[in-house]
Amino acid sequence: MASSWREPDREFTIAARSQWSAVGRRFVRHRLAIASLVVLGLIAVTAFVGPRLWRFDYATPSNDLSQAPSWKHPFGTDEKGIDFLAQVLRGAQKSLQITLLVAGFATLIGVVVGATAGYFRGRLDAILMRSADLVLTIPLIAIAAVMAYRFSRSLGGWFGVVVALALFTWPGTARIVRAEFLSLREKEFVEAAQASGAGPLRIIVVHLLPNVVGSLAVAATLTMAGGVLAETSLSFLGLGVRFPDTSLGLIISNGEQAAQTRPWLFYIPGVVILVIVLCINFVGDGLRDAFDPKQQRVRA
Amino acid sequence: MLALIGRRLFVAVPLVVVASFLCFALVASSGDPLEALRLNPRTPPAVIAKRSSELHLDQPIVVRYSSWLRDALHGDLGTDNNGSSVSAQLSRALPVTLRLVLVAEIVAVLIGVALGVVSATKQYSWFDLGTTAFSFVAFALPVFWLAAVFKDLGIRINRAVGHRLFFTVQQQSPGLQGSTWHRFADTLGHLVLPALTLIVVNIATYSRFQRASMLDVQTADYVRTARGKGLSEARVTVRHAMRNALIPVTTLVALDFGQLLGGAVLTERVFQWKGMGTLLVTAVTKRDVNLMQAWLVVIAVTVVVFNLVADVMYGVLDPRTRRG
Amino acid sequence: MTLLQRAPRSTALLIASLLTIAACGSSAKNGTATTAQPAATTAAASSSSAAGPASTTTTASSSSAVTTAAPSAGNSGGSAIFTVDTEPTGLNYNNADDNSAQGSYLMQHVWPWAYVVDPTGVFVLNTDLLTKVEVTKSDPQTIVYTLNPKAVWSDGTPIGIDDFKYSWIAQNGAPAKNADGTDKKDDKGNPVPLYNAAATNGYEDVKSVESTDGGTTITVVFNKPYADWQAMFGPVIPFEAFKAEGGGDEVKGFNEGFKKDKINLANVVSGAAYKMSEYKVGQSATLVRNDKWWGAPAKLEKIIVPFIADPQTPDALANGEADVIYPQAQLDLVQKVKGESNVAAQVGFGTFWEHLDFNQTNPILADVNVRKAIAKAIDRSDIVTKVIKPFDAKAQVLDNRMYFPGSAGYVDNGGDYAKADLVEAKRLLDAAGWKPGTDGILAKGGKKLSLRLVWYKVANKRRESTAQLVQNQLKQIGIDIQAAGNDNGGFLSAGDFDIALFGWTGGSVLSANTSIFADDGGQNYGKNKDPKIRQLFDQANVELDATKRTALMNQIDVLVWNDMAQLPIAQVPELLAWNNRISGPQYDAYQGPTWNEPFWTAK
Repeated sequence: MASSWREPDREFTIAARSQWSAVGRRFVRHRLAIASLVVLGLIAVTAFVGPRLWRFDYATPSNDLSQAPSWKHPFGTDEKGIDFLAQVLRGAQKSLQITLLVAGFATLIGVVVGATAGYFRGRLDAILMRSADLVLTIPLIAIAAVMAYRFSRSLGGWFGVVVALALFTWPGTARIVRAEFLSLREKEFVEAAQASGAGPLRIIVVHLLPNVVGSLAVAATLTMAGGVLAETSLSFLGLGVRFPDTSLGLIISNGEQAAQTRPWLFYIPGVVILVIVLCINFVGDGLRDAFDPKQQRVRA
Repeated sequence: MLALIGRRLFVAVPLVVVASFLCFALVASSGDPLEALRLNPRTPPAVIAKRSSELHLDQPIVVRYSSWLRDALHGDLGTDNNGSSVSAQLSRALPVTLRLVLVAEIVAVLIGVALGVVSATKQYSWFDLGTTAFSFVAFALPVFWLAAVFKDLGIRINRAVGHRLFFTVQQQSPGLQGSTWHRFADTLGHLVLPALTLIVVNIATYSRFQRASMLDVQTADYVRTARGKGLSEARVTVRHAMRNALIPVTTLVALDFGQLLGGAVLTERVFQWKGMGTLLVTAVTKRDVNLMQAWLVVIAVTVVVFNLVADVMYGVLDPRTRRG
Repeated sequence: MTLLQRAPRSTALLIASLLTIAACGSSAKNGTATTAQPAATTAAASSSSAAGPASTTTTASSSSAVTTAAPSAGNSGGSAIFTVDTEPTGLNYNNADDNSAQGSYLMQHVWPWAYVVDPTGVFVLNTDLLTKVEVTKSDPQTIVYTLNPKAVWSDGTPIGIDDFKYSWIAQNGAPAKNADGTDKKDDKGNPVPLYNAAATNGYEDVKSVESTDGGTTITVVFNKPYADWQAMFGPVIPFEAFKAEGGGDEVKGFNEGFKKDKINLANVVSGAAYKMSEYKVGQSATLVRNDKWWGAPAKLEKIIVPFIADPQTPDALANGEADVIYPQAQLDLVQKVKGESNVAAQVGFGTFWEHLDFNQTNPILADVNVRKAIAKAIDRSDIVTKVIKPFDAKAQVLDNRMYFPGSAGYVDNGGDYAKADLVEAKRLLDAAGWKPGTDGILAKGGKKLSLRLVWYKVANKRRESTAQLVQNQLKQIGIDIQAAGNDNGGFLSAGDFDIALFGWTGGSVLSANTSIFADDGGQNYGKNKDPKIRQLFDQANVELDATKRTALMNQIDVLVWNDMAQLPIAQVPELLAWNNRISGPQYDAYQGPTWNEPFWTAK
């Protein structure tokens, strides 16, 4: 915490910097968000690095058939004797990989669309927002299912799923960016920039976008959470990631029939998805609070 | 009122038409429609040629779309790769899904709103924190996993009790005879677990939303006035605050409908209901162009219709929009 | 103030709408007794072994029986629910497009069979249809069928020469004719058959089907001997009904009739114990006792056949929403069923067996030594232990492609391949010029030994497991396997694979193996070339002496082992389970679970 003799310095610093540190401080105070960030980080590290360190491989059968969780196999084994922890790690890795890419692409598309609509308004705005509505009319699962198959074949397995999902999850981000732009656009500094001869692209990128970062971050976490759920759902239906790739959704669909006889194969991957999405949501919540200038104690 | 509906329809109809073209383009570009037929060695070339001309594959996409549209407007949605009527399959599947979705939606709204209202009035109490925690978890649950968990629990409970308390397979018992009441009870019984899945997942949204809008409203002037007049807390809450706080939820219900349908697709697959969910999976895995197209369009129309209904209800609830 | 008090009307409206919505789509009419609830008695399901007695004419399979159910003289009446996992696309399962096992289960006791194969593999004459059948001459092969005078279709027409002749003509593969009398040909110059029959075995060898002895018997004369003649006329299809289904055209009736969307119950006439009283497309079919049936009445009054996918069947069984289930055995499914307290179950090793086919159009696999090396490296008993033994400890590796363990003709021709031999495998590959590369994968002339293993039906977990195990085993000798599932069965005939993992149904009709193993066989997907095989088949298929025939079939099997065209793995386990309320079901690998349906009883 800043002590009083630092305050005079702060008065002379640029507004943006103190805003960021204020954001950071508020985020840190949101304990749940910090805890979730830590957990998420741990999961990510384990998923990406873990397989190299763990003694069992995700595809090597053994003679420990269908064993319940034990010290040797913390998540148990399947009917081929393959260690389940290794499989879950690999599934988590794939699912995280996919969702990060989906969030990245969707945010990119959403920013471009939302910024254009919000800055230029008028006809362009109407067309872009109508098309966003159009995309939202059809349930994500359905449209992604139809396209995922096609993209999987031409782009190679799981990446096809990424493209299919990204193409239909951008409207949320676009709407948020547009809303922000619509209000920011009226501010004086935009007028000033225009007066000084800056082109639209420069204004958007240099002046407007940085102010939107907060909402973008929140929107990105929402997309990520939605992405995990969408991808695992698709893979569960058999329409997303397929053998030899893997995904938590696929693992659950394999284990669905085992729910009464070998429950670890079914419940563990589900809990993993739950924890991942929960953490992403908490982080998003924390970000929203951190960036919210009104700073109300009421959390919506 | 009629003007309001008229205006909404004016926007909705072109939206559906454009949506159907978009679907058509997507489905058409999603792969070779004859693939399934071509790879089956027993399909005679004559059949492939016939199907190709049925689907007008030699013509540009706009022509194909317009002939599809023309037939669709007459109620003919074409045949799938096996020659079965697509509209017959859809008309069997849609009521099954709608049944699930509507029941789940209504119950979720009722309970969600109630939870939200109580949470708002008792802000930061244990109840509030409890429902908040529940909501966060519910948001993060994968629908298909929850459905399978409920199914598992249902089976375990059935086993433990030694008697069938919960139905876990399909939407009705096969070959059922008996009075209307008996069949109705059977249908309701089969609805329990799938609807519960969708309800749990959706309660969270509605309760959070309702809570937030109640809190906003609580601080409004007219509420303070009502309190100042000496009205009981309950009356203030229900008569004044809630009525206005309900408005955003209504729109949310409608907007959420598409997502709810997605959840229904997954739930149906777990409980093996013969509804839109299973139909979609069949259509996609069999690369059946006519079926996919019709499915997407029917769903799009359903969503648009529900948005329309929500708009109208919004108008009913909020007199200010009626003029707007 | 509660919600109800505040807005009674709207709440009531909401609740009413809720209930009406839920009621929408409730099933249809007819008011008779509902199916009884299963009693929650405890009777543990156990499997004890009873090897099926071998027969001299056909192959038999081993199964583990709970109780060999002699048809019980239990009470008459009641109903049962027997699930089938996919809805047949049409009821005429002799039509190539609608040829499904499910169709045959459904129609088993509607359209009569001349012979039924019992669980031990013996052909049993259906005396309700034919009082006597005699092979009067062996050259030319002549068979006289004596009709049961009481045999009549449920629409009143007697079962007779018209129906037998029609059953023959519809399946003899005769070509369609153009207007000028020449054969119709397709693009490749092959004649197009008039009837779209699924199989023509036997019927194509028949010269004539005539009514003799004043109409009391039917004489069938063959052009050339056909050893599996008892499998013919199963079923006998009703000529008049098919004609009516085709609007007066019996060809159309066969080719396009009885499709699931357009079932016309008036044309689904019955010549057996049950008739179809209802067909709800997408949902279920209902069979009731045939009131025109002249034989001993079926015990159960009604059998309901819903279409429920395999994974749901144990739950349906436990819930009482199904009484008899016949799913493809998967590990958890079997354990779930066995764990239920009021259920009896039989795991049988059926006539469906899985194997790996090598595509010899791939130059790597054209070398017989490479194929042999792969076959030696694959540890089949490990696969069986991990993938099949969990179902039943008696599972064993299959070492004969024509016969199954437990039947008279079975000889273990596996020889050197009985146990995996990695050393020998490596030696063979090395001798063929394959040397390990830097990554451990064998290579020759710059080309890697990398093969694509494709299994049929992505969702088949058993095959996915098998593929993974094979992948792992072959990695140990330096072969790289890319494994994937394919939902389109066409990949087989298109040759779109290097190694294919799928299954064949073996069993009573041995001549059907010809198209799989002969050079020109339509189902020889690996394109194995061995002229001796065709010669031996030509001999075996006309050999009426059982012992000689068995010897010939085994010779063929040995040839296939030598060629290593295909590596058999094991029979696929099947599960038949029923709840204790019902007695009578018995596993029959050949005919299917409904072979003795009329004898099932309910408490």
